[in-house]
Amino acid sequence: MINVAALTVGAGTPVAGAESGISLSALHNASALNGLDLSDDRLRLLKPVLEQRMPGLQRLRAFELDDSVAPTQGILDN
Amino acid sequence: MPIPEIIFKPVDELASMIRTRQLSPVELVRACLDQIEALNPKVMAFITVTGEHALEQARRAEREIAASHYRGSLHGVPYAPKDLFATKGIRTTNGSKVTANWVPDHESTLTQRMNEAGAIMLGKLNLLEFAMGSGQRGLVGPARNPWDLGYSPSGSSSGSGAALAAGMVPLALGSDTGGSIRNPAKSCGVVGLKPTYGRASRFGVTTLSWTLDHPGPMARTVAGVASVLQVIAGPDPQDPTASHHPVPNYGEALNRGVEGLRIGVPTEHFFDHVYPETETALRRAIASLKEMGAVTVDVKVANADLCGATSSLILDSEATAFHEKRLKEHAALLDPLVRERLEAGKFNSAVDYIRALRIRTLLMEEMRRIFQSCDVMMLPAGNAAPKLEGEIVGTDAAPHPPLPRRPDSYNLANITGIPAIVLPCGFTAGPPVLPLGIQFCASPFDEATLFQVAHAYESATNWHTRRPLLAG
Repeated sequence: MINVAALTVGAGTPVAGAESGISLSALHNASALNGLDLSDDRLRLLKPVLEQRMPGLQRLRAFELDDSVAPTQGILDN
Repeated sequence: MPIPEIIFKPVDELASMIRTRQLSPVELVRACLDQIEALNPKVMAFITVTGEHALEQARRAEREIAASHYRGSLHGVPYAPKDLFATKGIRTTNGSKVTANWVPDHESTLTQRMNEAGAIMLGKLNLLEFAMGSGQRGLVGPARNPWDLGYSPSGSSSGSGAALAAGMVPLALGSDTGGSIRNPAKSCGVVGLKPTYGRASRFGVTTLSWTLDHPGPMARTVAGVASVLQVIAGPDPQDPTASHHPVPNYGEALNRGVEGLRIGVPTEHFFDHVYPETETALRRAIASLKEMGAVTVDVKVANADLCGATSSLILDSEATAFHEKRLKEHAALLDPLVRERLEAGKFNSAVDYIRALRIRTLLMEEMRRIFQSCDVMMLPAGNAAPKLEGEIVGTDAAPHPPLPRRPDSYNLANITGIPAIVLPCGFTAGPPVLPLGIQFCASPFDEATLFQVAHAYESATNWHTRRPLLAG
C-alpha cells in the first residue's frame, strides 16, 4: 500500500489558496492503487479523517523499535 | 403502575429468592417485560423483545426448580445480550440496516452458556452499528441515557448500559473493543467487565477487531458481573483464542477485603482531560479504599501515549478487513461514520499495522512490569456521559463546536488484553446529575482480584443503589 503522507504534493513554500494537509490528488492516486473506487466527493469527506489520524500515525512511525520486538497476536495464556 | 422493587434487587438476592421459590421466574420476567414496555419507547435500549419466548423459558425454569432441578445461580434470572451476539432463530441486526433481517442459524457460545445455565433472554439490546457506528443513528435510533434522556448512554454497548440502569433487565452481555462495555457502564452508573482476552469466547459475536474484541458481562453490581463471568468463562473449541486458563470460583474473591492490596495509581497520561469533578470522585474513591487497608503505589506506564494511535490502527485495519465485502456491496446502507471509518481503514499500510502489533508487545511487557509493583491499577473511566448530539457523527456533519478531548481511559486494556472493570464512584453535581465511574485493571486472568477490590469499594458506598427517576 502507498504511504499517503509520502504522496502529499506541495513540499516547500505553500502557495496561497493551495490545499492544506493531504492533497486530493494524492488521495485519488492512493485510492486507485488500493483498489478503491472512491469518488472525489468521498475523498473530500475522508480527507479530514485521514489528516486527523496523521499525528498519531507519525508518532507510531517515529517510535524506535528494537529488532527483537515481534508482533503479538492471539491469546495471552500465562 | 408502581415499579415492583424486585426488578432492582441485586442478582444474588434474586437468585436466592428464585432458588427458595419465594419468587417465580415468571413473575420476575413479567415485571421486567412491563418495565421494558413502559420505558423502551423513551430509552430505546431494546431492538427486539422476545416476550413470549422469555415467558415460555420462565415457565420451564419454574417447573425445573419445583422439581429440584436447580441449574445454578443464574437459573430463572433474566438477561439480554447486545445485538451483536448471534441468537439462533432470533434476528440479530448488529444495529445495521445491512443485517436488519438476519436470523442466525447458530448460537453464540456465550448466549448458549447463559441459556444452559437457565438464564432467560428477554430480547436483543441496542448498540452502535457494528459496534463502531455513530451515537446518533443506527437501525432503530440511538439508545438514551435513563439518567437524562438528552444524554448518551455511551457505546457501543449502549442498550446494555441503558437497560440495566432503567431496571429493564438485571444482567446484560456487551462487547468491548475500545471501551464499549466500560464506557456505557460508567455513563449509566452500572458495572461492566472487559475480561482478559480469551477469557470469554468470541464465537458468534460479530467481529470488530480480532485482536481487540472482548465480550463480557454487565450488571448493576459487582457480584452480578462475577456470577455471569462464572458461567461464560472457559475454553471453546469454536474459538481457538478462547483460553484454557483455569476458571476460579469468582464468588470466593468477592469478600476478601482489601487489607494490604496494592493499588497502582498512574502519575502520567491517564488523568489528562479528566474534568476536576471526575478527578475529585476518583481520588475520593481511592481514599476510601485506603481507609479499608489498601495501599497506593505511584506507577508510570511507559509509552502510554501510544495507546490511542496503536489501538486505532489495529482496530480500523481489522474492521476494514472484516467488512470488506459489506463495504463493497452495501456502502450506502451503512451508518455514515461506519462507512467513513472502513474506507479510511483502506489507506492503512500493512507495515504500519504490524508496527502497531509490535508496540502492542511492548505495552504487554510494560503491564507485566507494572503488575510486579501493584495488584491492580486504577484508571479513570472517562468523564460523565456527553449530550446525545455531542456524540461523534462523522465528518459529514462535523460537530460545532468541536468535541472536547476525552481521556484515554480504555485502550490500554484492549491492546494488552488485561482485564478491566468499571463501577460507579459518584455523580456529577448537575444538572443533569449523571453517574461517574472508576476503573481498575489487573494481570491477565486475574479477574478475581478485580472483583475483590471492586466489591469492597461497592460495599462501602451506595452509588449502585441509586436509580434514575425515570425508572421509578
